[in-house]
Amino acid sequence: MAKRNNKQQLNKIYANALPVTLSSEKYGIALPNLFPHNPISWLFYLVRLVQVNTLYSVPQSTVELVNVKYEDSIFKVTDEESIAKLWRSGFFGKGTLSRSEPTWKERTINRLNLEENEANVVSMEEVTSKRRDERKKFKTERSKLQDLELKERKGDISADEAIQLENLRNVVPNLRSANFKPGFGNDNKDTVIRLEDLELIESNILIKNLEFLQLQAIEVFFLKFALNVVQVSNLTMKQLFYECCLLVENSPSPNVTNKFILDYVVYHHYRSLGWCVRSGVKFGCDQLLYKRGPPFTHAEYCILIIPNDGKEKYDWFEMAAKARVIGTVKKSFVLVYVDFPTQAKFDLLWNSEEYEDEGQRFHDILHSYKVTEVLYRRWAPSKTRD
Amino acid sequence: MIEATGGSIDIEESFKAVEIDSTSIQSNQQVILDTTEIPKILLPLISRNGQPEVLIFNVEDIKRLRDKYGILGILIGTLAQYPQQNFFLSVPLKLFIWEVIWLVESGYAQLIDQVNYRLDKAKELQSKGKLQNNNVIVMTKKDPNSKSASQLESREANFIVTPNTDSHKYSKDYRTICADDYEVSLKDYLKSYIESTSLSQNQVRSYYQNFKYLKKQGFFINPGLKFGGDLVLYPGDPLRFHSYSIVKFNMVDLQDFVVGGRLATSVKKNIVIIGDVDESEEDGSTEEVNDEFIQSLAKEPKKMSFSIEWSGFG
Repeated sequence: MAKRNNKQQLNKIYANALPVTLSSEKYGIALPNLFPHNPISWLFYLVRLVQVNTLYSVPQSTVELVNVKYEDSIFKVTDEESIAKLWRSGFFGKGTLSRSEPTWKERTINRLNLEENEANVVSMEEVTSKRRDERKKFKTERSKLQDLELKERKGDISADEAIQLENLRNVVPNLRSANFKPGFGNDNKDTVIRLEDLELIESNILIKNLEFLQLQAIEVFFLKFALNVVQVSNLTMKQLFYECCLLVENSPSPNVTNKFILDYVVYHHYRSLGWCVRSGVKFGCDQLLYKRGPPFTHAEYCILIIPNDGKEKYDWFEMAAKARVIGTVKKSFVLVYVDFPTQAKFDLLWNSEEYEDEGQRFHDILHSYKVTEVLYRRWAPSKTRD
Repeated sequence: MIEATGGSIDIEESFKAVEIDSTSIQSNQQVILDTTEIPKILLPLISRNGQPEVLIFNVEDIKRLRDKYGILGILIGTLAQYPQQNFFLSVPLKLFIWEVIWLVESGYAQLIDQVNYRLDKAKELQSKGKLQNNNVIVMTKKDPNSKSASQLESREANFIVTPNTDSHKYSKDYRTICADDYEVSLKDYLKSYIESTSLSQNQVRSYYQNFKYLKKQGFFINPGLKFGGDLVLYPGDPLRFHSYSIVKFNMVDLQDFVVGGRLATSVKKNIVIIGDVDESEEDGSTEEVNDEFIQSLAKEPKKMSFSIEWSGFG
């Protein structure tokens, strides 16, 4: 029951897959159903279509763009509302002081036991650290048990120890049983306020948020080019693209195989197919594909991007290591080969004066890239055989 | 060819061979203890001009490499009794390049051109009339009528048994005659090796020196591809100890750190990165493998190593 509530709650929080506002959401209007065999429904549909498009402005145009600051080669979002919007619709970015979702503020309020702490929310980081503590405890208890068992076998066990052994035998298996969940709530620790914390609080209220949301270059460009929901420090789309390329490699005009471009092509590809794409650095690959997003499921696929230039980008040792790491976390390893246009063709499009719409330029440039996927699986013949 | 027709046939020759082996090993050990002059181990070089490969068939040599020098190599042959498993394997022992260089450089072994050596030896033996069939196989024929007395029947086998490789016992007489004449220099070996791989000379030197550095610390070393590294370190013989380190040469990529740390920790090891303290050594960028290069192998530049562990896993 609790699980279902939790799921419903998640569905509510993360209702939007992308940070775009729809007419149906904003005005509560929707186009009627269209029945191909019923001409009246066509007519009705057309009327409504014209109505919607003339009477109501496109909602996205009325929504303010999210402000992204570009400082020290980092894309930052500091406004709390924008952070929530980008995280909750599409899981963009990462909290700089958190594992992924920016939860520093909540955690600090929790830790310092401040007044705002009503909901008693438990962040993922706290769950993890709790679980690790429990695991450590289990391990020490188990080693105690094993020591005593050894003594018992040798026959030099005192009466006290025998009782202790009996107790441990009952306790230890329960610590690791499948139903065991670390408990929260009733262990009210004493609040420790460090010297640094004093700068943050004023009359029991947190006044500073040290955390901001950091976006990857590919995320920023996707939000700009594909969704047009951000404004990046007065940069035009072309300038932004160029800055992103410069992050990877310093050249007067972008190289056709610039890692940023290849990454972006793949990122856009999977975003278009409805996947939630996040950085794969923690598993040593380029991107991770989530079915809906991190709170719902684990990532299913690890993406490694390889330019299709006939050169060997990763040697066997690296491939073996990556595949092994990905295998142990039960994900599938996908090699994505990216075909790219010639440098001349790229430069032509890049320098062309014909485009009035910058979006069209990048549409044409990105159209000349192609992706091919190969699923790679580590297979040890001697261990897989029955 | 032996055909078993009626009744079971025991080939005692094989048992004899085993006995000979064990005694010879004992005597061999005594030799090592007694004399200061230890005969160099012969490293048979196969495919000398293509992709050179050192394959050792002599069990005595394999034992000596392991016990005395801590050189493991990899067994790559199939066990005749258990052809389906591939966990425990049999001779030949394949040595990898760093082991070969180390053995030769330290003066424990010498490379020989196995193909020509064997051909010429056979010719020589033939001309001296030493190559003759003196293998006698004794067969016991079980007679169903008389259980107590088994009939012994000796007859000449119609196949030639030659000793596996040049075990010291058999080969002492002609070893001195031939083996040295077929010695392949380290230079020639490395020349054809470098031609057949993607490694540059500087890499070969630097990696070898990494190996040597670790060997000097007393580690037993295996190749590390199965853990995605270059080497795997054991504190002692791998049959008795688990390894606790994966070694990677010159790691620079952030992804490599993550992958290395994660992988190593998930198999209860740590990852060791090792590199030169002074990178300016890379002057000898000549394409040719010359004597200078061989000499530079023996140098001992300063090495630096770091170990990485993933602390995230409980």
